[in-house]
Amino acid sequence: MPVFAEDSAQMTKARLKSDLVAHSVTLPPTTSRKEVYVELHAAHVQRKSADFSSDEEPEAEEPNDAQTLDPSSLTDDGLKAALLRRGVRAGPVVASTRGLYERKLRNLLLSNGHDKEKHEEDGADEAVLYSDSEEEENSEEEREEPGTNTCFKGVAFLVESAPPARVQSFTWNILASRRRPIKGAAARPVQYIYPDTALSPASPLSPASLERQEVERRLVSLRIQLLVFLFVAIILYVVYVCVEDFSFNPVLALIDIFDQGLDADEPETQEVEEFLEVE
Amino acid sequence: MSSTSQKHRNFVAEPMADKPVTALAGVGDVLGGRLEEKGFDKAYVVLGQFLVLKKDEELFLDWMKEACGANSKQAKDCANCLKEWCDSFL
Repeated sequence: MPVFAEDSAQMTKARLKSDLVAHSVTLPPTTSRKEVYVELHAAHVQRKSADFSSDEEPEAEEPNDAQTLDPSSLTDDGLKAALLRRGVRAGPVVASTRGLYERKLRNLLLSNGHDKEKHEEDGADEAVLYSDSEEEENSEEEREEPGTNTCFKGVAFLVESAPPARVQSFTWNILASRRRPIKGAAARPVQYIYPDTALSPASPLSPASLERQEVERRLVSLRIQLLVFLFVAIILYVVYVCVEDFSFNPVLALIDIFDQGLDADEPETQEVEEFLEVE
Repeated sequence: MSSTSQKHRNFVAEPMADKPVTALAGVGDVLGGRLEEKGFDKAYVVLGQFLVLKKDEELFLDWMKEACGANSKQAKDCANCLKEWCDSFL
């Protein structure tokens, strides 16, 4: 596939790594540079996709996995990648969790072994379906998730066109382990096509937009706070100026004038009273 | 879970601070003893294991059964208790 050839150099190192693991290629030491991964990727992954159409890969590699992939011999990263390839988003693989994840992978491998025969029957039909619709969609989605796109179609195909009996056995497989809601030929779940949206169905907004909302909410009150602060500051300033320049204070001057006016009034009234008394 | 044990409610009601592992719902003296032998002497150490498994109940149940021989109900009680504690205090 031409898309693959362009991508391998642009993929991230982690992406290359998990791709290599997905194709059962032994990884170079973790200190190696990206070029090493790109070369390996070109040598193994792309050669494979040239040999088979990429849709048949799962069938081609599954038998390998069940026999050769030994969870206990994988590195921590390899174990995590192998689980991710089977639709399990593993947490950190550390001493206290490794055993659990190894067992989980082993269980998955076992159940994949049973699924495999069923999917192989579909192989020919799937190939027909894939080959006509793949080109246009691949160019859009290939960069993010080269594998899952085709798997999704595999699942869609199974669900849509399979006879009732097959659908039943298919759903039974889903129920057998609730960690793998829907499985395609490559045992990858549908949910990773849109990793961001599928990750947290409970909260549809990403953390970034939630944060932005939070900030926006704060901004409104911040503006009000600023206004209030300015208002108070101005009042305090006016008071300060008033106290300092006592003589030039217009308010006090007004009060003074008023007081003088009162004082001036008083004698007058006294005079009137005196005048009245005299009379 | 319509009914929760008194132990569960006590644990979920407040920060766990330094509570021993036996304060967890579903963990009695026997399981607590086994967990302590493995180094899980405080409730927060078990919480750590729960968190490092990304709060995945299934994996945590597996771990509980393996680590201290808990039965399904005990493991589930403990997982529920930790999950609820996380919901209110994490």
